[in-house]
Amino acid sequence: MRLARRAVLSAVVIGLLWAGAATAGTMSVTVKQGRVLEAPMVFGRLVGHLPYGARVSVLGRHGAFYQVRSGSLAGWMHRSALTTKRIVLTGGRVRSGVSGSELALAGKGFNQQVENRYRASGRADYTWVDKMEHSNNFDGPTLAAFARQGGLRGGGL
Amino acid sequence: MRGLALKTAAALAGLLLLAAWPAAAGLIDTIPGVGSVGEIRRRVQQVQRVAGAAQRATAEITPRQEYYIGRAVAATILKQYRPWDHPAANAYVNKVGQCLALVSDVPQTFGGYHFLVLDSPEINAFAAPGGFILVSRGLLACCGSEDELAAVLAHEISHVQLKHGLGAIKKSRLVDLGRLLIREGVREVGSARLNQLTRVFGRSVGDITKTLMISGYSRAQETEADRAAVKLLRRMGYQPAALISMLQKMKARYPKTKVGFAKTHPDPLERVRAVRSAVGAAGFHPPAVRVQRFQNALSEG
Repeated sequence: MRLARRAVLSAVVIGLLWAGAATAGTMSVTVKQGRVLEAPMVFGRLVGHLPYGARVSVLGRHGAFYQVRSGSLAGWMHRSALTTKRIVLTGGRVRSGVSGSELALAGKGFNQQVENRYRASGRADYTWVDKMEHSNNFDGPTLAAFARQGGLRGGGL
Repeated sequence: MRGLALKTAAALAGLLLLAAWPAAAGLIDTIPGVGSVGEIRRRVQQVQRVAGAAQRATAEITPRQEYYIGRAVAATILKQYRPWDHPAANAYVNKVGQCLALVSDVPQTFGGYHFLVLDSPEINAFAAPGGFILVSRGLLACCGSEDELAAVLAHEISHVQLKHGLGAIKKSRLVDLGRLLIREGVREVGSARLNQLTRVFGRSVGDITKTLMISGYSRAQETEADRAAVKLLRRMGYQPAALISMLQKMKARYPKTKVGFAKTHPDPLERVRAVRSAVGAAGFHPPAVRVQRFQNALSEG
């Protein structure tokens, strides 16, 4: 009887934990600038961006894409840009009792402050890292045209 | 005994259904044979607290932290290598690389994928976490076509997506980071704590650059990246045999002593053997249009 009771309790624990994950009707943007596309296609046209931490309502799914809405912006985002974890950004202050991972998501840990201190050490040269990041950022249709010109037919082209 | 097992199974099925239907679960306050809902809730919270404590001991590297680590790794490498300031070549390499990234399982990292050519005759490439990928002119000179360039970039993208660089960070750094995060908690980071964080950061970056520039990845990791690269090439429409062609050219230039890429990579023919079955029997016949635009983009003029 004790064994049966323990088994039932374990099932309830597992079930309740699973239910919490399965009912995620909202997700958070986990990249600096989440790309919201017109259609669920990797080379699709961009309709807007959402910043890191933005919450989106999930309306549906197609392959690796989620159909999302955030305010007046609606479209499709790739799953790699979204997380079910909540990202709390409150001007640097975070509620108490959070885990290390939640603190890391909220911007604690390795962040711009740490980079600024590391830069000052002289061990690294960020000049071309900054240039790399801010140039040659091609959108889906430009890359699609490049691919087609080269006779490439991947990615739904 | 059998009757008890059947009753237990029925209770489990019912409870799982209830657990997935929170509204219904709110209608009951006692589960027969188990206890009150309040007692169950307390037990669940206890399980979560124990799981959370174990997780907190080691910090997770989030995509955002991976981005800052990657920037620092790339910046550390760029302290030793000069970039090739050739706008057309860099734009072209970025187009090839970003196409491959788009058809991968992780088309977006926190800060995106960015590629830069290094002005060095060494045959080498470095994949920093988060998608900062550096390839040398020496390596580009081994490529005779866009497909071979794509094979190189697909391999480096795969190292990023398989987290091989992050895997080089010693576990003790992550434990230190976890402790610092928990100690800091809700407070703004003071100067002393910032110094400690930066120290852990610097040591983590050092672990990765040492792997990229001195010890190299394991044979298993190189094979894993090669196999993942073949998938990316196929998805984009490039010829997978370009990877074999590239490895054979690298073999022709493989130095007898452990310098350059020989220091950080296994013998190219070993890699060919490991990836041959994934590539298949088809030979490599690069389309003229992709050979031509490759040559045009990377010419010195």
